[in-house]
Amino acid sequence: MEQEDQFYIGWQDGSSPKYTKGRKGFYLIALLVLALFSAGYLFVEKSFVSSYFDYGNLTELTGTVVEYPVFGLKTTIDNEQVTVPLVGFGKFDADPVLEELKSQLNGESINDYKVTLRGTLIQYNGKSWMELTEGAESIVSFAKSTLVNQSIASLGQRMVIGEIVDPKCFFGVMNPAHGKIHKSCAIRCISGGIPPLLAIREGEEFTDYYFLTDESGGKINEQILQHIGETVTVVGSAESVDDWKVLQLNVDQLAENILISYDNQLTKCTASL
Amino acid sequence: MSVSYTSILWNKQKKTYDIGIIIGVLSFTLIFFIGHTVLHPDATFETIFIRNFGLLAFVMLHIILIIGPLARLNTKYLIILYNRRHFGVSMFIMAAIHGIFSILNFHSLSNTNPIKSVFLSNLKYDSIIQFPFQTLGFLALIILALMATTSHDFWLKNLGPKIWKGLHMMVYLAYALIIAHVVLGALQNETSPILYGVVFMGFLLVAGLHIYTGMKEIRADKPLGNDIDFVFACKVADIKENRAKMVMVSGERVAIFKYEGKLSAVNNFCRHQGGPLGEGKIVDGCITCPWHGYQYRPEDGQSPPPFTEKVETYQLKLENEEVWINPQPFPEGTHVEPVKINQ
Repeated sequence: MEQEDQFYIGWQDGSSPKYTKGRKGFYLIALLVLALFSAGYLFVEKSFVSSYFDYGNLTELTGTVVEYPVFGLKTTIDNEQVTVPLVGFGKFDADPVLEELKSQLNGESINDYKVTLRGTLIQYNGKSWMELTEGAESIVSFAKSTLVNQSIASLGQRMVIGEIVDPKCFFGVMNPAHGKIHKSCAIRCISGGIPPLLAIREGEEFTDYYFLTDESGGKINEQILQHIGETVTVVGSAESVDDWKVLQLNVDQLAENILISYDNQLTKCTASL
Repeated sequence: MSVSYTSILWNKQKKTYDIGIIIGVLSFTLIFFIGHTVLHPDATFETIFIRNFGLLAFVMLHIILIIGPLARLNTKYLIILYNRRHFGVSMFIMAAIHGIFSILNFHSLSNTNPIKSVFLSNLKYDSIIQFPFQTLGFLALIILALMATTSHDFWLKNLGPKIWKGLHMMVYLAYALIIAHVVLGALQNETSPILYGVVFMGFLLVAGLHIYTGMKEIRADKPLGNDIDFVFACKVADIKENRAKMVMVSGERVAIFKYEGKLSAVNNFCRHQGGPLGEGKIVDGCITCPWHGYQYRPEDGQSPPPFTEKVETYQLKLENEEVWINPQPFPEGTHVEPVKINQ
């Protein structure tokens, strides 16, 4: 009867045992639930890939500038000759740095120079990229050098299933950086000029990559924006350029060439271009 | 419109409540960050940060939403209900950290305004699977922000209880948007069916408790009639001293209180936040709401000065030991002479 008559008034300083017991019990359960969710999530969330963004540290790389399929630096890392694609700070390409470099060379061919650039390294799955974090200040030096040829070979017509990603985030700036949750960010990056890349998945791993260009090797960023972050099947003319691959698409037939794929059931994309 | 709210100081109960929230938030965050460092060393700080505060806000919202029905089922949880707005504001802060940091991370340093980018980057509004889920979270955050900024009694006074309550009932719209945000967003990146199961179970718990308590109240609301004459309400012995018996007349819940050998009837709906006055108690001669302690005089339904809240009153009569009530209410704050028992 005494228990029944207990009454809680929040603006009073104290409360009867019935309510303090209720609070204690509720807090205990709430705390357990929070701990369970926090710890339990760790065991059910998808694992992360081992990518790397050397944030805060600037690295200098010396090599030959290439402009195809993307602005990059043909250089040596760990005794291996590689092409390091270059991107700008934020969600932008590094084209202003390329323009600055050309203007400093006073019209001479950029291929005749060895260039040293400073930036932040991005690495994943044996591939390296570099963010020219300081913009025009990223150009450290350049000097006359012998021409280094690019090795370009046709791989024929190919139909490839993969996801169009923004490579800057994908190779390490963000993790994870693919799929639906990263779609908007990837659209912003590619809209800002970062070259679109088709990442090919084998199971949970991405194992191969193709830069996507038009038939003459030009940018198609704007045309593929709404297909980013989705699994697509792309048909085009493939070629290898040094240690990268390129898939050249017919922009006029892009709607026919990009097929949306859900669970391997191909459906023709009807998006207007 | 006059503004005459009186703030209640941070008393011991509020401090205990807030300490509980801080311990919960810190424990969750500590486990989440340390756990990722050990089990997922490749995860970036930004990802852990965004997921921590998103998941924390999501779990907190579920806890907040079940407090109401729990307090209806067992009055010992009224102590949790009393300061629920502290819990709500804390949850909003967690959700805001998640939202603001996500917008900065995914939409800033680009060629478009970050807020515009949330709505205009992914344009697949006609697809369920590809739907731009971030827009749903953004809209939910706006609702939660409105609720958090108007959670003080200052706004309750200025907006009036009906508008204020209506605004704060939008938490259910925010909840629906957040569920869709999670299902069409974060879950699409995951493969474990456990995550889908947990989200579904959480929704079932919130919806189930609300439906159960709602059904229970509907069953208790047996209408006594809409007659213009008196209708039988209950026996005097059915009402405990300083407590009330709730009855339904003319579509309204009415609380009949017994105190100091007298009976008085007032509308059951507390003008503060709609608390059930009939589950309250006479304290210091005043009907005291069980939710937040708002008080009304039983004989005229008016809050004692300087407060200005008032509720409708009802005419009672006693026949033998039977309490009869006139279903037609008097205007709010009308004095009605209490019926004396054992005349």
